[in-house]
Amino acid sequence: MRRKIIVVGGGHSGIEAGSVCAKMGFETILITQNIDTIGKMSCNPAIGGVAKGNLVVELDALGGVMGLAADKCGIQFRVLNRSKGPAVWGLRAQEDRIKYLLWVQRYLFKLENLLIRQGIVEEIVLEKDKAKGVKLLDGEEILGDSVILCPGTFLNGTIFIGDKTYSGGRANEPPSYLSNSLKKIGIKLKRFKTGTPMRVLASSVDFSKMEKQEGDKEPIPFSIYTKKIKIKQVPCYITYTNKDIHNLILENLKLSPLFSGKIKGIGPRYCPSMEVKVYKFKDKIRHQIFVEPETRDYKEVYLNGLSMSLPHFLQEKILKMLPGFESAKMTRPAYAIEYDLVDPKQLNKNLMLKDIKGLFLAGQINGTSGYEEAAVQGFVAGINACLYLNNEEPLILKREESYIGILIDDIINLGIDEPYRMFTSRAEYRLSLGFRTARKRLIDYGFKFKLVPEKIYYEVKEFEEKLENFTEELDSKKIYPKKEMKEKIFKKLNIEFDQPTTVGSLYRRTRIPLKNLLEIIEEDFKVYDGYFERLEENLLYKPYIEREKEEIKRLEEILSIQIPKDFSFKDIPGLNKEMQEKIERSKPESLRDLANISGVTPAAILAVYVAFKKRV
Amino acid sequence: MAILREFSYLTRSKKTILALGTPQGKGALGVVRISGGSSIKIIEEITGKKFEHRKATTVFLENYGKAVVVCWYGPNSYTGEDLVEVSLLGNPYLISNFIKDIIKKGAILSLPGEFTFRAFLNGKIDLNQAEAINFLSDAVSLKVQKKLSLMAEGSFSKEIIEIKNKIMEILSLTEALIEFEEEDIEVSLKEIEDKVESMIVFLEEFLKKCYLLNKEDFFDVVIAGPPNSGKSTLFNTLLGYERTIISPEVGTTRDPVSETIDLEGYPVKLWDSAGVFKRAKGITKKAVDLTKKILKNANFIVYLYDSSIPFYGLDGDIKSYVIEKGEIIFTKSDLRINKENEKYKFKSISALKGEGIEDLKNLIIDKAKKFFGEDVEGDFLVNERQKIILDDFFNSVKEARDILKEGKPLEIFSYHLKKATELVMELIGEIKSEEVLNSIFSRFCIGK
Repeated sequence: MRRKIIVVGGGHSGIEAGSVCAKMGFETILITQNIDTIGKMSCNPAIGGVAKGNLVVELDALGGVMGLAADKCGIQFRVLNRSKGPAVWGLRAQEDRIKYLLWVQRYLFKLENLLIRQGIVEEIVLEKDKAKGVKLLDGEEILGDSVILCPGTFLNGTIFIGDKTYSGGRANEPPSYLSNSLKKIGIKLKRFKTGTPMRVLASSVDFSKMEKQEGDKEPIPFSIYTKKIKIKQVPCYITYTNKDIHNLILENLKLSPLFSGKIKGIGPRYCPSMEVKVYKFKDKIRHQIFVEPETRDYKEVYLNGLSMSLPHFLQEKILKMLPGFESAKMTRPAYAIEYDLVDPKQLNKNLMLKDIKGLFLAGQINGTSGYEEAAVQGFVAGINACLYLNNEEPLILKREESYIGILIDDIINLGIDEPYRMFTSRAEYRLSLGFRTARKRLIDYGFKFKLVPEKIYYEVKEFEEKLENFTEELDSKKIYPKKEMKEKIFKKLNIEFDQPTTVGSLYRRTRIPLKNLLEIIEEDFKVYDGYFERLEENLLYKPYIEREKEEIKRLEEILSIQIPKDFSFKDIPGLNKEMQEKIERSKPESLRDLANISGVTPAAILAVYVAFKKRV
Repeated sequence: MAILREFSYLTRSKKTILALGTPQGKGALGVVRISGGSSIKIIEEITGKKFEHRKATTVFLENYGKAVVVCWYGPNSYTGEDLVEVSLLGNPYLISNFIKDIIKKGAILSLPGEFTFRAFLNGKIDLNQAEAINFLSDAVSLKVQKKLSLMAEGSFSKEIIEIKNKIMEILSLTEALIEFEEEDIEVSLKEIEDKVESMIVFLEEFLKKCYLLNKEDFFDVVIAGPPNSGKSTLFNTLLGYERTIISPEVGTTRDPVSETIDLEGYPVKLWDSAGVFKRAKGITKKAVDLTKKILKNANFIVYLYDSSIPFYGLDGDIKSYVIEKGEIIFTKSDLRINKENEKYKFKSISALKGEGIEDLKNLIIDKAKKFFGEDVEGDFLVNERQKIILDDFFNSVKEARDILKEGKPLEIFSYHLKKATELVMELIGEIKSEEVLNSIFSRFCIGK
């Protein structure tokens, strides 16, 4: 009999979980409250950003859906951080949210092995400590071998606008009642808050009063399956709040549930409500608001930066005080939402609950925020549910090889105090995690699980191999300080050199486009078009990445050391009792886990290591 | 990552290490210690001899002259592995050649404290002991180490925290520019550049105030006096155990003997010298000359005089040394004090009865305190490990500055800053990436 995996939720995390399980050949059932809202963008109509864009590209290399969907439905593509080096470039695209949702639905419906079912899941069905299925609100039981929960903000969601509150997972959509069932089976819950800004009728807005922001001339796609993006892009606009708006908000702070004490959940500091921004940064004379289209036809605009929980009448007033919005008509008010989440410390690294076998969690339920963060977890939970049912080793990505690995490692080991968003500064080895290197880093996994077609895989492999050779050549073949060469380089690059040098070294010194550099040097280097960008990235970071690699190798040797399962941390000489108990409680499996426990010093790790080495 | 520094000792743990036990260029002997699996094999190859456990054997080496070799077979050694100690004549040239020869045979130079680390690794000492010695610094004396750690909680660590805050500020400004390009963040590259420059100035000043506490920085106290004035008795009393042969016969102590003791945390090297008398001849004359040399180098001289014999003052060089940096003390106060001596106001002690010993100790401690400059405000004694880290830190910051000046991208500048931050972490504990983000969020209004 074929084994069955049940995915609860059709958001960005559920989509990835459902599709990967189906592609891995499992009978997969995706249950959602409303089939028509699968793939809905609850908040910002955009995918990507700094670090987030890297998540999407990584997911694409593994065989996920989001990257392709974003390419297909994007209406403006813009790379953030272009003034910095490529390691921290952030691919970002404005999406047509209606097209996006339809595209994803069509994609899922076409997948073999995947059945989409409408229904409200009320209960997890357990058999001893194993998840066996779910029970719907109408009493129907759907049984299977593994369950993946992706309820997003729907988990016991409460919506706040001014003093009005109602239960809901999104505006005007009922919440999920799963929390009680989760509590009953011993899972610890926390509560977070987030928010979304108002939407406005585009035809009522005067865009001429705002700064215009165009997309890139040559859009860079997220997905390996997108060769080129050839669409007409639409612009975004920027407007600013002003002192009058700030004063109005400050005068009415008590009307905000964030200040009246009604909202108790913790919100993200990187995405605060307008009232919090105004309150905390009183000196700031204006706050930037990005005006983004919700769809290509510009029916509604999204006011990025203006999320709030103030009452409706105030929202109307504030809106009309924004330059360009004097006679604007609001289509959907801003609101705050509180929701339950599971403290992710209760999870294993494969995103399965430590205490309940076969129950996987992904997305906002694990305390993260953002479509991209949710999607990558959905994928990892999905693939690991399959591997779990196959009795195979879980897929655990390393921090050194991916932002996905960092995300999961962070939330599981550190837990979370606020909605978790990915930042490049969370990476220890940021320079080797640029978006362009994602395929090189991860495509082996995608291929291993047959999620990436052979043809694409071998193309990537061949490209990377050639790239390695080119890099090697450019960084080793010597250019000698002969008179003619010296003169040429001095004239063109204003650089003097007396020692033999390499193209790599000259590039690092001058950073003029590699193609031009090779033309100036006029020596026999065979480099094909299409390789220059990656070569430049390789050459720029090479000295650092080599150092990092060396460090990673050494660290890996140490941290991957497994701690024997039956090893007791009691009676390790030099570890005090409190520390011993702390370590016992978090049951570290490897020295890496141990190192992640707060307060554990390198010396203590050594002590543990020496203790279990001696025991053998 | 700090753990790398610690574990680098571990990855080396199969290697044979060597260290020079005495400071280069100083001392009558050079002691080379070799620890690890091939240590005994190496010394056997060099000497062409076999050695027994713990037995000192004198060998003559063609290139290095006379040497005394002691081998300990593991696990019965300080490090728990095969250990060799070779004492050579104190000729820096010979010693460095000898070390090169051992390295040629496959040994590597030890890192600071690596012998202690091996002792820990092989279960010879526990973590507490190892941490007290700080693995990474062969401490002068435990109490000095304690003093350093007290210092670490006080003004020194205040400065380090200041440094940490400065680097964190620069790092979070930089990271804000990287993570939130889209937000309107009021930071300019110029501002970051200025902060780095002023940090470099600050560090230059700070490093000037950091003194490396040398392992061989001792406060030298010489016990001198005429023959049989009780020098060795006092020496042993201060040491707490019998070190030298004591006999009432005149001139028993011929060669100066020294031992390091810990007085209230100060490393004091105590010298017992040959009795000084005017008409010494032959071997005795040699001993007296040596004593004079030691007196010349001493930081403090305790000049003993038998209180039962009339005191006629001092003469010659010795007089000038004692006046400059010494104190005359009557000994054997338990015996009858000679009437002639009553006019002198010298301190008196009886080592036998223990009278006056505490006072004398306190006197030495006072002098040591002044010597080590405890009262010099704003100066810091740092151990070898701290010194290495601080220097590395300074270099990382300077490297970061250069990167910025060359106009390289911000993430590369940040790479160097992070390297620097990791070094501060090694001095004061961990800084998580979360801390940088916290700092950004408290400073800037982020929020699209």
